[in-house]
Amino acid sequence: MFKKTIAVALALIMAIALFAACGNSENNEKPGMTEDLLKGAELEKFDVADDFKIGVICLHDENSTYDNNFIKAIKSVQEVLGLSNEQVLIKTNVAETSACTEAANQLVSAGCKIIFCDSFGHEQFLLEVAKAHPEVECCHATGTLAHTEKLANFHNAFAAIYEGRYLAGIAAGMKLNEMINDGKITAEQAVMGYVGAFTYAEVISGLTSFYLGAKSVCPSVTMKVRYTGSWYDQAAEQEAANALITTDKCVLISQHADSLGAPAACESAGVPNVSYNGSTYDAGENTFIIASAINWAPYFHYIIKCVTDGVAIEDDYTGTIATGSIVLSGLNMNVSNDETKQAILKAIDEFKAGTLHVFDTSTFTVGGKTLDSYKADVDTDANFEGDTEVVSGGYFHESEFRSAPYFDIIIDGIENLNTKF
Amino acid sequence: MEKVLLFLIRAVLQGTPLLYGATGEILTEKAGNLNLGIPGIMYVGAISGVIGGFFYQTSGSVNPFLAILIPLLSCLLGSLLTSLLYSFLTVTLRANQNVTGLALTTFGVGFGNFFGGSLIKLTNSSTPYLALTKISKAYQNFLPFGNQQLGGQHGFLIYLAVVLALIVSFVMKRTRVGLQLRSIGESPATADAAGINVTRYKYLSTCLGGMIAGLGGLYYIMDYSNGVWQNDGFGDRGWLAIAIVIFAVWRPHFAIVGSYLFGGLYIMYNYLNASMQVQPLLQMLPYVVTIIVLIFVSVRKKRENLPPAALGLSYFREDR
Repeated sequence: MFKKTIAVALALIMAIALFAACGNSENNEKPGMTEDLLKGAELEKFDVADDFKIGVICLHDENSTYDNNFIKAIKSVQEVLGLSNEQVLIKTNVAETSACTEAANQLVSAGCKIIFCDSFGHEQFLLEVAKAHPEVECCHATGTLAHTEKLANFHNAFAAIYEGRYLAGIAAGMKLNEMINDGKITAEQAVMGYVGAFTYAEVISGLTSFYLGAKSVCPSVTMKVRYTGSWYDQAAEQEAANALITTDKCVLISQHADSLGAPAACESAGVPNVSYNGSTYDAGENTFIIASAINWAPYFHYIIKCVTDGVAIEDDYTGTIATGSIVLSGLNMNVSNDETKQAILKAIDEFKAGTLHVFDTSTFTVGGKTLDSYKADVDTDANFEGDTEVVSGGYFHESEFRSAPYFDIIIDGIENLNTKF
Repeated sequence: MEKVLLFLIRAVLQGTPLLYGATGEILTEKAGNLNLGIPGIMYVGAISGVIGGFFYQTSGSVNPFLAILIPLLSCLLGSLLTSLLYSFLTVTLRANQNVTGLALTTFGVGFGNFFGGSLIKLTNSSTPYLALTKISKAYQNFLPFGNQQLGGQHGFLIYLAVVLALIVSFVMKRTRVGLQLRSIGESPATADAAGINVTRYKYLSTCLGGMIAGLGGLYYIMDYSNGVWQNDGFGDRGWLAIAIVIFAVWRPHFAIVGSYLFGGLYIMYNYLNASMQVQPLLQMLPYVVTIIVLIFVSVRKKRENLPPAALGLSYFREDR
């Protein structure tokens, strides 16, 4: 009995000591940071039926950068529309297995009119649920099957994040220009490094748009890419960034993977970093430049509005700067400058006016040649064969034939270091 | 040549948390306690250090001395309490060591993620992470030498890991305390008959071992990751540390080599520019080597290379 009491007491002391230590936090003063350069859409309030419910299925919880982005978005929409917690059901840590089907079925039983899944691997499971429950709208982020399955209640969504990456790329290019002008590097030494997760079109589309953004202001720039083979591996991302900085002589780093490995490596080595998915200023006061991210709130707002009004949801929804789906963090003036801010704001206006295309074929070459024609793998098939002509009018039409990216070309100036392509 | 040097430096940085874990585990196992809770204890050590550091950093100005001391003490306290829990369950209550250890690992990871997540909520950050950059700078800049060109960050914890491994090795091999400790691992009944306090030694070695392992977690956050905590960021390093114990045939000074080797193999693909398909094969090598060592050792049956005879067994004095 005595021993048991001690065991319980020990556990309690540990827990209490830690809770007691949780006092107040600091205020978020961030010296050097400007206001967000591109804010998400202001969403309008409309009346939603009291029995309306939406279910959101997330791969991880709010401590994952990726899922946090979705959870933040649905909560902001919940606040705008004044929905109760019974009307917005969020299921976290749902694996890309039959667990997803089960979670979706539970949400259907709970009376959800819309079910949303946030991860690529959820798609086939959600598709089954969509077939079994034609009365429930099933929406899936990053998926590719909606336009070929042609189910009335199954929809894909993504955002033209390549526009955001292009803008972030401008900030990178301007930083390189500053380094060249200060004599720190020569024009040829303007080499950027990029830590990617996988060689998927989503990553390649992102890194290419980032590169093209930088190239639009710094013509001599080149880029080296290392892939980690994981969406989240802090040490692998940090090591990849480090190798890019030390052995590959990259003078600026960006990344498309979910941990803070690359920003941490940059802060440690004093190399500027362009981030993704949210500001990493706190981890890189002296190196963080800017971050782009997708804002999912307009999409949640849109699907709830469609269901409320009884209107069909688009098969493929691509959020853009115009829909307020692309956001940019503030610019860190400790690293960047006002000229950069003006250049980004100018490009934002051009995007809004529709005069600027990220994948303008006059701005890049593939194997030394201009890209006149390209059959992209838009319709999913086992052999990944190209099926749709996507180059016309002088630019590559990314995310127009389906919402998920399909730009998977390695253009001149970008070098993949650890994959045979 | 420069590339080789850069690689070796990264291998050491990558291997250091493993070395802490392996040294701690060897110390524990030599007294006959198979602590599979080491991965969990390393998590607890890391998050305890982060908790201490977080409240110190947010309290205002950061004094480099306190910035090192507070997280260090919180880390040691956290890992001590977790090890005490393990010792109490396995030594005093004689619970099954494997089960207790595995449970402790699950507990430690959950504990880290729970409090990590809670602290992240306190910061109201739009991106889920904690950045103890100022604390981390204190750790990295504590020693006056270090080279930005070679990737910077050479905190004292890297050297401490080697020193601790050598001390444990020396104590185990050359001192009376070490001899008594080893005798408990081989045959606690004999040690008990010789008048050695088995329970005290088991408690001490497990707690000290746990504290050393906890430092590995602290190093990973404060020095290696530049003060950034993200849930699950520490990964599976604790299990690698346990594999190194076997690889090093229960000798801390071999663990130094083993840790750096494991660390190096883990990141080698970056320096070979190996394709992504080869990367898992390279990362698999340490485990293959461990299996080979296991086979080799069990075939040769040299006494000094075998695990402690009473490893994993609870000691009942009445059990003759």
